[in-house]
Amino acid sequence: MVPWTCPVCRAALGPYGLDAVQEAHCPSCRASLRGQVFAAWWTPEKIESKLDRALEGEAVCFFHPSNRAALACDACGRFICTICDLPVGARHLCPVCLSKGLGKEKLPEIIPRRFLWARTGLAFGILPIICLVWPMWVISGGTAVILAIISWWRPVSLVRGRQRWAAILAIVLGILQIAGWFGFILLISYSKNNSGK
Amino acid sequence: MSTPTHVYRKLRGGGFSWKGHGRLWRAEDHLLEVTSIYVSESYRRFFFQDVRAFIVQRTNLRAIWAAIFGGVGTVCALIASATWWAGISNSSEDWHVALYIPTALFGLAALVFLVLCVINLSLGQTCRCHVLTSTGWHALSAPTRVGKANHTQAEIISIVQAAQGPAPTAGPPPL
Repeated sequence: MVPWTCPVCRAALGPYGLDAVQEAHCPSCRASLRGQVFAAWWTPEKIESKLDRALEGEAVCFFHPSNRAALACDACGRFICTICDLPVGARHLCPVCLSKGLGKEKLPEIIPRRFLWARTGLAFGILPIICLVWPMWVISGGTAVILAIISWWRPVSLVRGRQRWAAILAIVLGILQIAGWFGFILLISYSKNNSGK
Repeated sequence: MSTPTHVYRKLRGGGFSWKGHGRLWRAEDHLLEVTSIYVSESYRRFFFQDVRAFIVQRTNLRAIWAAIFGGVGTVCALIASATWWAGISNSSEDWHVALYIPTALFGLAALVFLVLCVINLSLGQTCRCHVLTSTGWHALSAPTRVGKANHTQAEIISIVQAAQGPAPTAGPPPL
């Protein structure tokens, strides 16, 4: 059972009445706390003290042939024992499927972070224009276009989806920057030629 | 490998921390904390079956930020007033116009800080939410205001109780 401690100072708390509405104070750090304890707190930890050895005729674990199969992997369907059972949310996976999911980010439940290519492209599209650093526009504009094109096939935000609008806007702003850079170059060379005459 | 896709629904209230902008999203079977620094997102998941407690801790950050914004804004306003007064007093001198530049700059800064101070005060009391799982306490980056946290807390309590069933006893857990 997880010890019942203050989330702020980690001091062990006495049995005071934690309430979802009324605040209570930690006797150690005086932090004002209110909340709810759920049924899972009282549920004892599942301890697999001994392995079930498979008897004659029983289904066995794919990875441990001497162990009795406890369930099937939700991804590949292989029988697995309690050692190989890796619960991911509501699903139960075998170690092979979990490592495959970790490597190629196929399992949305275990993705730790995502780089947002379209948004990065948009930042490269907007910021140099706002900051008026036009000598850099040919580089930043090109970068914005490339990042936006890459974003078309790359993994996207888990919660915000693909955000095609950001990629399209990044391409438009990138092209504008490149056009603006060439425009400035033409303008400068034109004014130099005119001043020479 | 089958890849189930989750439909996420945004919960009320966001929050800023040194890690970025945080927000909570709710899926069918878990709570997703998203910390974003615009170009990338980090995720933490709390499955409803594993959540053992949800606690809202009231903090004093509102007062601290109000003091910082208000203090800096007041200092900027005083400097702007002083330079303006110096400019008015020396109106016969040629250089007095130059004093109006710091007046405008510090006046603008004072306005920005005072607006931030008012926004901070109007958003309500600050808080920090914590989730207890089998691995211990986890501080959430959102919500950071008590008003929004109340809604989030009520929603999380109902979802988790629906997933786990009611707690065996009404009182606090034993030591």
